[in-house]
Amino acid sequence: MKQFILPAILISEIIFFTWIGDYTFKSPEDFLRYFQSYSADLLTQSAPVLLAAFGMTLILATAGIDLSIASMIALISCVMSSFDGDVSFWWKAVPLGLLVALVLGLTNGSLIAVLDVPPIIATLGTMILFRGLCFTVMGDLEKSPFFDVPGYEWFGRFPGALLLISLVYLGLGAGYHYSRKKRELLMIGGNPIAARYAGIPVDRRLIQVYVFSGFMAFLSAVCFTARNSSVSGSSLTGMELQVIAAVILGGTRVQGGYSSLSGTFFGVFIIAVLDEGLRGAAGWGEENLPFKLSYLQYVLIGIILIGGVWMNTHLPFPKKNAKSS
Amino acid sequence: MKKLKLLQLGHFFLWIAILLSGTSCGVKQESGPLSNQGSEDGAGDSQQVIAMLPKLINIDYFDACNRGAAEAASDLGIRLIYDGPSEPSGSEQNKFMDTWIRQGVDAICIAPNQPKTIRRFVEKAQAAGIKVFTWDSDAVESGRDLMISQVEESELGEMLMDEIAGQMNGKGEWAIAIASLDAANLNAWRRYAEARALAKYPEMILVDTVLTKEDENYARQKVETLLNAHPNLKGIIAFDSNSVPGAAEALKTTGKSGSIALTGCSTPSKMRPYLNQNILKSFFLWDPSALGDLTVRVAHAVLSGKELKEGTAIPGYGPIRFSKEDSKTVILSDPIRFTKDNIDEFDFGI
Repeated sequence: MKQFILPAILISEIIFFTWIGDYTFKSPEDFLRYFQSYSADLLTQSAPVLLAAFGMTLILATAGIDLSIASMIALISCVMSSFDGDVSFWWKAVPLGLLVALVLGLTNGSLIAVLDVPPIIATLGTMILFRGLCFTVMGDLEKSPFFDVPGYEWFGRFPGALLLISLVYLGLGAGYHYSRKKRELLMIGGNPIAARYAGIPVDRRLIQVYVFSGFMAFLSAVCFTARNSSVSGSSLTGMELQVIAAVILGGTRVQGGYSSLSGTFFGVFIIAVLDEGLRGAAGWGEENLPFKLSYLQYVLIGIILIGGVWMNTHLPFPKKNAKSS
Repeated sequence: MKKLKLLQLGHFFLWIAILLSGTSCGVKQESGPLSNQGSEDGAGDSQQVIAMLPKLINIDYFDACNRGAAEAASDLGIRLIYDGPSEPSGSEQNKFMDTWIRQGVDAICIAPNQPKTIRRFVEKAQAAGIKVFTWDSDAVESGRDLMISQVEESELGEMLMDEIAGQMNGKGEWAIAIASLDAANLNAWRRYAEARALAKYPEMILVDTVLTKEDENYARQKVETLLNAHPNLKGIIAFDSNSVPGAAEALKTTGKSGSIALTGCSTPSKMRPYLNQNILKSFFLWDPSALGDLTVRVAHAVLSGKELKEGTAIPGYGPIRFSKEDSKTVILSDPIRFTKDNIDEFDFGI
């Protein structure tokens, strides 16, 4: 029954917010049309968070954390934005962005695995460092070469974002679930000393995980800049908490030892649907509440996060599943 | 175990199926039922819906705009949605644009945080038949229908320059304090002020420009550093509502308030104590609730199919005034000059 909790929360959220939303459906076609753009908006808005959250899931599985993820995505976008917005963007800015992403991931990974800095401290440091680099690269400007790059916009639209997410989810899901990697990462998270004795190359695996997260940050940066077509030094501030909250809501344990990619998927959308629902129901709030409905956003996210995690850990679940935790 | 994995994959494919079924026939945006049935004929008996998006919510300035806008909306009998992000973020504003385009409002009035990021969303809204206006801060490149500006940019810039030059007797070193080099409106004023100085006050030397990041305390620190670096400084123009009180506080703590002239744009409630202590002689502002009011009225007039020209009278406001620089910019009023003598005559609520 445990695996139905998150989908159930998600679906009841959608129904609830459709019900109180500022929109009355005139006909079945109208309903369909509304949901087309609803799902397109939802997916394109959440794509950057979702992609980053996939990387974060693996990091949390190893009992690590990456607070620098938002600064990292912003820095990659900033570096890419310093190129001209024409065809050459594809073979200049994009590969350089990827390279920067991998280097940033490697930095985090080396700090944690080689220099043995606790993940929360290491990435807190790089979070501030990367943000500082964003301002160094950008100054106080807002740049938007992304708008003019031919074909780039596609990744900010529904099909492009969906393709990226599906490829990552299926590739990662298969590669992760059906190989020894998952067991190894979970074991590192559960008990790093035992993992070392079991012959798992702990340091190498940790570095790989953070570099992979860097790669996800790159994809996330592509989705973000393709959708919003501009970036400035302060873009994406605070996004790391959104990412971490979604992963935790999805059932992945902060202490490591249990992770769920599909849980992360639902976690991201539960928060996104809530966010979107509050935006879309301002009229309902005006009539029925003494305050602005959107003020409730953080309250509700907090409640859902605590409630969701409690249900995830305390409700009975199949015995077989317990083995993986 | 295997069953569980298949189930998990199943969730995902269910979602893809839902989403694909949605888009396979192509997402086509049209004006939705928020604007109610039969809104094709413009005004008439159907209720217009105007959505207004400030830079951020819960700050005095935009709350005052909201009050003016809400009064205008109830006066005109239209529905106003006033909502926005809790942080000044361009990508958060884009999410609101998405929501409103989907719901099919009649007009979106936006005060963009990052003018370049809204371009694609303005296009999307216009393709769906929604009028897009900017207010408070402009985004010229975005192709918005009209801009509702608080002041004529050249006028305010030149007024600030003339004011400081008058207090400095037209000569000496002066400096600028400004929130960022990003904000479109502040920097337009700055450019006009600098141009005025070059053209009219050859004996005045601009020695420094400090960036204060929309933060009063940070502004105080930066201005204190500025004062130390330039002992001969005679005047400061601070362009945003946090820089002016920050600079005033710096003048107060360093005891240089008599010898250095200060002026800028800020709010009466922040500046009243400094005016009363004679730390500065004057500052400028417009009435933010009147800006909200005018924005809603202009949007309503355009939606009702009115052709707007210089001097066109719009309901409940009177003749409107267009900018000399840009034919698509409506001007609210001349900036108001606040001094110790007149500050108590105005109640903007901010």
